[in-house]
Amino acid sequence: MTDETKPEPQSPEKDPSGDEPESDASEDLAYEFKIVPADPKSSFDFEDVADK
Amino acid sequence: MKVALVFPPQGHFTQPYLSLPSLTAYLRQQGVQDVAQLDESIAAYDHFLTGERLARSLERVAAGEGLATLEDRDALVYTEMDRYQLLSEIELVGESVVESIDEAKRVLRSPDDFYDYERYLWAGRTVEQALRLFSAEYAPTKLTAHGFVMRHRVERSSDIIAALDDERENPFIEFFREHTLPRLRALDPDLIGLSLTFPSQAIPALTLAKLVKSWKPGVHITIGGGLLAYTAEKLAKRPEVWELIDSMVLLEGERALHELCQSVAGERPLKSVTNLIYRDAGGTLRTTTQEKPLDIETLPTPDFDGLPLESYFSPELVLPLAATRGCYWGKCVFCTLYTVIGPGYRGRSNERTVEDMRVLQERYGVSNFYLAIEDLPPSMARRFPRAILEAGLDVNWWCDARLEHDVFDQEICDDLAAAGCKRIAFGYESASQRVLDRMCKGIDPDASLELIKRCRKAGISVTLYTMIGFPTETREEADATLRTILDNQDLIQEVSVRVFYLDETSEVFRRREEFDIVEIFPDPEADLQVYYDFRTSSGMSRREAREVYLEFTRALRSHFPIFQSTNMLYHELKSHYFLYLVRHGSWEALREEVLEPALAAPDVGPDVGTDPHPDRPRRRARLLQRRLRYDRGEIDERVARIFSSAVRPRYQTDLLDDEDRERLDRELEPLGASPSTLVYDPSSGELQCVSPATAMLLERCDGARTVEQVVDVVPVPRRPAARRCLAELAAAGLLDPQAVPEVSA
Repeated sequence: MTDETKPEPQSPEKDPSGDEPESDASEDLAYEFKIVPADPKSSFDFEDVADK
Repeated sequence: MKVALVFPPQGHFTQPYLSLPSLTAYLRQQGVQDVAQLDESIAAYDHFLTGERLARSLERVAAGEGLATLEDRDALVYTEMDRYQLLSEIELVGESVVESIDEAKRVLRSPDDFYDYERYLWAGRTVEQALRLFSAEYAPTKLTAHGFVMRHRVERSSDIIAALDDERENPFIEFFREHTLPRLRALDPDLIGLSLTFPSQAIPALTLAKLVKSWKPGVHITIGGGLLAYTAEKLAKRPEVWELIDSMVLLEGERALHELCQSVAGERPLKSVTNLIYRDAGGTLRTTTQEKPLDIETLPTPDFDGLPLESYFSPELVLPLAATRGCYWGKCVFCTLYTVIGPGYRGRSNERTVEDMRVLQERYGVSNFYLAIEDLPPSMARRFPRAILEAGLDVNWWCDARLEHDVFDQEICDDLAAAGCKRIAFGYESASQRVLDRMCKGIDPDASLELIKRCRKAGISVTLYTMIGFPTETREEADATLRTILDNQDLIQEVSVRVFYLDETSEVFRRREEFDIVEIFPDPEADLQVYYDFRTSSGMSRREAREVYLEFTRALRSHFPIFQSTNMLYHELKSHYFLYLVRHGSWEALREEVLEPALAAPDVGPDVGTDPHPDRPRRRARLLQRRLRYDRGEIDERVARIFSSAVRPRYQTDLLDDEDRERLDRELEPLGASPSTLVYDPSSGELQCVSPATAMLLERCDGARTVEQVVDVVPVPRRPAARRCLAELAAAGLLDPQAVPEVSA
């Protein structure tokens, strides 16, 4: 496990290949801001809890 | 004569079940005093969910194929995604969960902390994560709050037998050997009764039986309970089973178990014990005479003495109590209960039930009860509340009931509420009168809504059971059910939805041609199969029914406060939601005081200090992060989609077959690498997956930079999105709430 209280920088400003994004579309992708719960519980099945 | 009655894993961990206390009370009433009750389900949960035990899980998982191996792959096939999901979580949260699991259990048992909703959610999440860590040690086995499933399927006796020696994947072999057997040795019983209610108990029960037999071959082991009503005759045909057990009790167990005690004590021959299947000395299967069950009025109050009542994961006990047995209606064609449990409906007098409550209150200091009955009969609905009030009992309770519009008038609903009824779960099933008539439900959906309004007016929380995919049901009819529920969501607190499964003991199965069922698909290897896949010539296909079910559940999650976002009360069904209702007095108060604030505000953990620069966003202290080569959000979505598209009865197994997994690996397009970061907040227990750009913004929120300085590395056209992302980070609880900026896009 990694306690990254000081996380490793992971700026998307530079493409891992070293190439700068060439189009608006790739820039949009590089600056895609996503946050989703990573909890399998969020996809729980109602049927699982029906009988107990 | 010494008897040990055992409730094998897996049942729910919030409250004791009724089977052992009912049997124990009867045996003691009949003079069999030396009866020990062992709830090995709660004992197993309690043992598995300790820091010490989970540290071992973490060690064992780390010794196996780790996340690094999967990170080295250029693409992930389905089974690798499934594993990646689990290992990425464990690698990030494992140590933290090991450190905090004992505190999480303490919170769930603490009257002070349990009702602190943020603490409750943290504890609930930690328990879920801990169960995933524990399960990973035995993968693909899964032990959750609601189930236990292995690769070995309980529909196949050969699988069950194989599971009994599978040390690698069956966690109960070690548990029983190290914990249950020593207790049984100390008790040294002459007779051991294993109570099986759920399919999830089948493998653990026989695992224990096998271990006991290898320790003490002469002990008489009997199995009984609701599950046997469906499977006893089939199971009895397998000779291997008779090396593990000596008899099976059919139907209600009180009398048979007492007679079995007499037989084991040498006072009567085994063949004279009623309601029994056994193998005689010559190896021939014998089924003894079936007797009428005992008069329910004469049965003693359940006896919970000896159960570890302080071990359940609840701050207060909610004791189950049966005031009736069977169903007074007994006509619904999908239901199997009245066809398998024997001679119909019987009720205990209201006076006796009230006396039971009084005795249990006095003996165990409980005020909360779950009436473990199929439905509240009309006569009881009319008179039970008055009996409670006249006895001066201060109790809270809940139960199931039929939507009997003519019975539950406003006065009765008010009386029920005044007598402590906090919640009723009704079988609504469908909004279509045609479908309800085919089901023989005997209810009117419009009149049902009137009844529900009366319950709400009285302050009783309403749960509706619904069913999708009853044979002949059309898509339009199912849609109408969902629409009716959403249109009336202010009247309904909880909805339980399930897909219809064809059970071979149901009327629908027996008269299947009347329901346009043109084909059933038995599994030739499943000698214990009870549920069947099928095809109809009208209405929705099975796949369509599953799709509608998924739409249904998505709609419920977005419209009902209790299912939304971080609200976890539903997951801990039965005790926890009910206890919160009791604490807050009414649904309205619970919603306003707890559920809505939890949805509106970011989580506030205990470690938040005062920030001197509220305009400078700062990431929460002690966040744990792990950068991943693959997009964990995408993996979650794919795994959930594949898993939820499968139509199969969940009561039996929810693991995909090895063949299915191999097929998915071959046929589905592998997932290519695309980085993401997992972020875990130990103070809330929440785990989030963020994109690289979001992770970069989060890192820049150091409390020194202003919002503009945080986003100034982003190209100008994307800055509005970056500012919105900061607001989302705050809403997700990843920024210090003392330093959450007002951001405008």
